[in-house]
Amino acid sequence: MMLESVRATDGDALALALAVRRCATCHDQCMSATVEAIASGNQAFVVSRVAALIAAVGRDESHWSRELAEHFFYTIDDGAQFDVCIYRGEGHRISGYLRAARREAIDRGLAPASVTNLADAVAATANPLGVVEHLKPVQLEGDARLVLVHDVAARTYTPEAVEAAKNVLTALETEFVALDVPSFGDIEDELGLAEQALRAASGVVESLEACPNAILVSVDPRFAYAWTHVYRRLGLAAEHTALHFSQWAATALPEVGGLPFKTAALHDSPQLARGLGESAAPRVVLQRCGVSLREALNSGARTRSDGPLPGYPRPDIGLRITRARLSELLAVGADRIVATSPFAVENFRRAGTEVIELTQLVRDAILGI
Amino acid sequence: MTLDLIVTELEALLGPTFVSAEPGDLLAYGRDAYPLALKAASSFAEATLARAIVWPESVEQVQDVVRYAAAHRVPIVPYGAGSGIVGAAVPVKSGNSIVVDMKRLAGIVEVDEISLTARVRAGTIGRLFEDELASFGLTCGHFPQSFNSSTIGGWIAHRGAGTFSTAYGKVDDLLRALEVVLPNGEVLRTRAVPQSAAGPDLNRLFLGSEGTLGLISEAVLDVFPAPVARAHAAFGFVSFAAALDAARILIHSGLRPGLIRAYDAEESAAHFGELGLSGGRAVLLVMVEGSQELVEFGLEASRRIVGGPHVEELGTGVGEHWLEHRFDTTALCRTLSREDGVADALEVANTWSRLPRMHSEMKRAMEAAHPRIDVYGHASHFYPSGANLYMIFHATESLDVAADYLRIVDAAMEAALETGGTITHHHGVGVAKSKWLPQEWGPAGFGLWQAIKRAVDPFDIMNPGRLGATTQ
Repeated sequence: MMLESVRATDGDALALALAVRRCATCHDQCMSATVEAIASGNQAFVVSRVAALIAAVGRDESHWSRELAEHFFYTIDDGAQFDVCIYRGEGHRISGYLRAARREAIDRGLAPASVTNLADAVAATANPLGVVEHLKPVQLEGDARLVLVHDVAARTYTPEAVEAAKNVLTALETEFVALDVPSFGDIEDELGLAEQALRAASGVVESLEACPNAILVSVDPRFAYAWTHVYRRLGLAAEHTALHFSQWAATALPEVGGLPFKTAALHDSPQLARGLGESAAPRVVLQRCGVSLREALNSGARTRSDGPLPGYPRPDIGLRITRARLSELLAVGADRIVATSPFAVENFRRAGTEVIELTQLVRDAILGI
Repeated sequence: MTLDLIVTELEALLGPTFVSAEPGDLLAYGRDAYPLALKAASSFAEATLARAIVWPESVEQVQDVVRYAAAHRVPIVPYGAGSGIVGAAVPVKSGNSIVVDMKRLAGIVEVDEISLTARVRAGTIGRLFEDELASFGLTCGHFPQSFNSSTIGGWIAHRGAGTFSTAYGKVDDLLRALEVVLPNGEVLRTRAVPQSAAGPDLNRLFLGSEGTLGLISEAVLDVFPAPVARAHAAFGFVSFAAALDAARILIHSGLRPGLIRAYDAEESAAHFGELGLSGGRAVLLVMVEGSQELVEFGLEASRRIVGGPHVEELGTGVGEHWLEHRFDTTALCRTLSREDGVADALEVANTWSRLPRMHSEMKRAMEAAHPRIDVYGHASHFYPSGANLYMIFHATESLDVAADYLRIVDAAMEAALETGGTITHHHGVGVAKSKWLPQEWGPAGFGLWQAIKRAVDPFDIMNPGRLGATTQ
């Protein structure tokens, strides 16, 4: 049985095996909440069918193939499936058995090219985007109170947001230290690249050991999500408080104004709104900036994915997911679309629509741009 | 024809991205929610696999696929979202059919807000249809338990019923017009009119046709103003027959609450026992929705009609529990996920005068068919002349689940027919119930059906093996 390869970091092997079995004999109720199944029209993208395939190759070893293994990488676990999952509330988890199946595919040399390319990129550059960076070592001091943490994604896709965060902190007279790490490790973790994930995550945690009392803030909600959910699962001592920029700004930002537009549609990041249960903070921030929110379909805690993270084997499906989410946001007819993560900004940009990142909006409101 | 050639030629029609013969896709489409298919779906050896899966995006592409299949005599299996529970979307043989997934034909085409109708593509998932209608302040009124995993085309092809059908009607009642790709590749488009006397109703020919006469690609359905209020009440009765009788009187009074559900004592205990209801009671749940005035009047009138000296009003806990679990199929899935377990929900219908006997006879027959079985039931769709019955069973400790399942269903269907009822109220026939269709219709009726099938689909390419049609 494949899931015998489940490691302690994925959870209890027996529980995951039972989860596979339950999903495999489910009535596909998550169909209506599975963005990749809706975007593709393909029943094989529904989680329960992926689970049946995992169970099948566990029983019929001879059927392993590269084409079949690719199915394990179709699922975008944005949490929306649990809106309608009949087993919700029973500790039923998709990610654990998917990670195990993905790792098995990688170990057998059957991972899709998108994943092996990503693994190669990590080996060459220490980050999943394959961007060559020359990061300067940062010596954090023990009295640092606020650390602004970013990895390659924010620096590559929304460098203006990273600068805007620094501008805002400075404008509000908040001392901070910037920490640039190659990778948070969460993308590697989700794809089943366990060793690479652990290496990246350990590097982040070790960098922060010197300042145990600091609050960690990032414009990328992946960081707070990884810190809260992934690092602890990986057995790392992640004791600091980690926040998305909006969570910090919601308590620190006074009422400001002066923006040249009045209304906005907000795309909630799944990591923030679902993974961390935080949909209020970005709304408070928009309100403080004098922006009136027009809520789109599937907002707040019911948000949907804006597209896949790197390593996804079907970019055509990813683009359709992004366009579907964009159409929901555009439908409300707001002056601007606001996003709260670098990947959302980049996904929407690739779909042909420029959106404004929340941190930049705050900076513009403060500076009256 | 070789498999490779079929795939190559289909790819020329639809593009390579929308044709697949990959094992993972074939296995995924090797089942719908038919219990035996569901249990087999985790094994390549046990599932029946198609030759190829295709995902057309337009009615023209559907025509291309159908013409190709007709020219090469390749069977077509239409596929919505695979929630059918009777095996109508499972290939009957491995390696000889093209599964046509209709889900890329999705979304509302237009809403007529004056006439309250919506033209919608057949591959639209129920919940997504409802989400789109919400932006118009409308509701589809059709909420099957498979609401999250069934399509408009599937509703029509199986003559589905939603839980609020007592007010809104079955899909039979909601359907105004159809677009269907016929087995010769032609497209039939019926007129969206409220009623007509222009000969037999062609819409009805395709209601319940399960893909055997063509591929439904679009439909016009009645829609309704979204309700602004909802209220419910539940009542305890000394017997299921008494609960059914109260429901009959309620319906005969002229009231049409959105939802009525009458549970026998066993199912009442299973669902609502945790609410502290006194044991041995049958439960009747009445739910009214619409305008505030209608809801207030409807609930008060229902209380007056249903109430009596031997009737206990149970408060709102039953209704709240039902609303919270209305799409929940965990009970069936839990039993099915056991290696030694099998379960199903068999939905039948009968007239008021025969309904109590149908319940007792089916229960007796099913219990006699397996030593470790729980059988309970409820009625949930009501009409002036009668109602449906859901007979639900969970059997465990089976050494041969397939044989045991078939024996239980055999016993249930024979009892249903013997008491003068129908073998299905809204799930359809598929492979699960096709052997009883000749008995349901009688020789003349079944002969007429076979003649229609031969005339419309002379090469028997459209979902063969369903509704008693010939299997290739």
